[in-house]
Amino acid sequence: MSQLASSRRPAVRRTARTRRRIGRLPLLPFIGAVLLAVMAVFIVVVPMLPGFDPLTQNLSMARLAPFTDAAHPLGTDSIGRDLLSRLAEGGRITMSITLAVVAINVVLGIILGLCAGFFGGWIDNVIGLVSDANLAMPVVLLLIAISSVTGPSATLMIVVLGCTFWMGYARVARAIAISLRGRDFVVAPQILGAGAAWTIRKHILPHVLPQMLILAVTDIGVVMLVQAGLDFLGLGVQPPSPTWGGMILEGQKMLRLSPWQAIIPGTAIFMLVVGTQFVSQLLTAESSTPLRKARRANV
Amino acid sequence: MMDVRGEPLLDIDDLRVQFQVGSGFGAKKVVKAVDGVSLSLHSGQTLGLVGESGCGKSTLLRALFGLSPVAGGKITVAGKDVTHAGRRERRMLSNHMQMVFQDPYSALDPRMTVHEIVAEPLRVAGRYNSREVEELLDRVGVSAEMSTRRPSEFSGGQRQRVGIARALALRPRVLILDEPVSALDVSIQAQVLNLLGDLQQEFGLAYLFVSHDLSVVRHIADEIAVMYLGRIVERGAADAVFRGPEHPYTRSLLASAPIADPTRSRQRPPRTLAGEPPDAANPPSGCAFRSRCPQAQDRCAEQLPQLRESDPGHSRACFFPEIPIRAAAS
Repeated sequence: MSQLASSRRPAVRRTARTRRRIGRLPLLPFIGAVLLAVMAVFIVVVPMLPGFDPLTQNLSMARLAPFTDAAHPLGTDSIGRDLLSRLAEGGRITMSITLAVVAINVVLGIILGLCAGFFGGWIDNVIGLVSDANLAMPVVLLLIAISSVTGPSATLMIVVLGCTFWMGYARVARAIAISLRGRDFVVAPQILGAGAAWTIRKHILPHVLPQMLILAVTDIGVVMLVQAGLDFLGLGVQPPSPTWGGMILEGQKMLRLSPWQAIIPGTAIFMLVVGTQFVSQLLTAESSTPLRKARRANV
Repeated sequence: MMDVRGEPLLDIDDLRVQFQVGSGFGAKKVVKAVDGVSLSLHSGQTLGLVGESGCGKSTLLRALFGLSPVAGGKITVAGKDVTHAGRRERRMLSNHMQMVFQDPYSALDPRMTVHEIVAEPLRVAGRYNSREVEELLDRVGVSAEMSTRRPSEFSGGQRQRVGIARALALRPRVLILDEPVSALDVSIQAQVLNLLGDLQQEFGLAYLFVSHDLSVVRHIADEIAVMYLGRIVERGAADAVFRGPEHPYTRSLLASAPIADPTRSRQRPPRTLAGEPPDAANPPSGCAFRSRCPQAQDRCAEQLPQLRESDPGHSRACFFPEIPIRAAAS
């Protein structure tokens, strides 16, 4: 008995600590984290289930309502494909595209923003001009124009979105670089004869990365919405591959007869966007706390 | 004491730094931030450079490291002309001359550990050695177990010690100290000044010590140069300048230095410097100090006084240095 109790004590302490940490989480970020976790598990687990099949059509089983058939828990679409499978597969495709787009955005934004902020002068002017031109360009129109030549594809959408949503990162990175470049700890390596690349990598990039993470998490939701919109317009991933936006497009035609076809993927998008927004709130608060501490220490 | 034998480690000859100000449609003006400054520094020597804010001290220091636009003159470090040195030459130069910054809070990267901060010069030079870093930190009084901490856990004095360790990492012979203690508490100032004194003896360092605090300069400097609006107006051995200041600006500076003892402070006649320093973009003709000088005459507006030796090793840029000595005596 006593042996058992003593061996358990650390585990008990650990759960107590975890509970305390969760208890300290503000409500909204907590909800956001749970939402994202549920979505992630869903996307990973469902394809491992025995009945997973997002593509096979079965017109005799078309437009089954959710929760009526054990083989199709979320029902089927207008040509009898399993909605649960399509939701998971669509989520996987949508999420990979979104993450690829955000990754391209972050890398482009950091490189261009740091160069603009650190070097200033004509480099800053040119990058600012490109950024403004990009902001003024309507993405949808651009995508329609290019895909009218090449035909729509997922790769094209990744490239176009990747090159049109970096400006936010660039602006924040530039602002931080400008605020740091006159500081003595950035001047010191220049006195040593270190190159600009060294100075930026060692002394500016580490200050920029946490802010970029916050922006990226917020942006996941935005990019996903834009992408769903483009899928909806038929400019993104082509059928029969499912995407959440594409599923809404298909469901929209049947809104009267089988509203769940659009409502289910719509709910998934809603949950993910809300989840990322709530989590980004937490990251913002976390990152500003040490900053405030440091400021207090400085004064 | 002063060592005037041999070649100077740092020699600044007629250095000029100019900035263009005012853009757009107005005529561009040239600000002569540093205007014909000559200084030299020998091994083991401390040269105090004093002057009020905006007189060009910091610009002069930045020019030494290629961070201000040099318009003319020559900077020689250890016999090599480095006035317009490129990046590779800067790396060589950093083995001879290093800098300690004024503000210990902005001089250290808050995201690096103290060990990494001191290691950086060695890493840039490509000869990083963990033990050497620990030795440097130990030498300036930062214990080994603190080296993995970040600057935010250090006090101002400790941070300045770290800044000094970083400056010493490449074993330079000249340290440029830009008001190294002005941001510290008075009690901490003494500790850091003592550390600097010890290091100077141990490594035979030469210091160019910039400050506006005359009591600090008097404590540490062998020789003093007084700067006003980009020019050196008086230069000489520290004792000589403090006992018998010859330029009216030096006299006003000495007179306005606060005295810690209230009784003595009350006995001293109030003789503070009137007015603001003139606009550097639009300095007075002739002697730049004449607009605030108590003994300015017509000649001061017409001609620029040159730095001239009065006694051996003591020079000033003033046409009428003798007058107020008599006035003060009466």
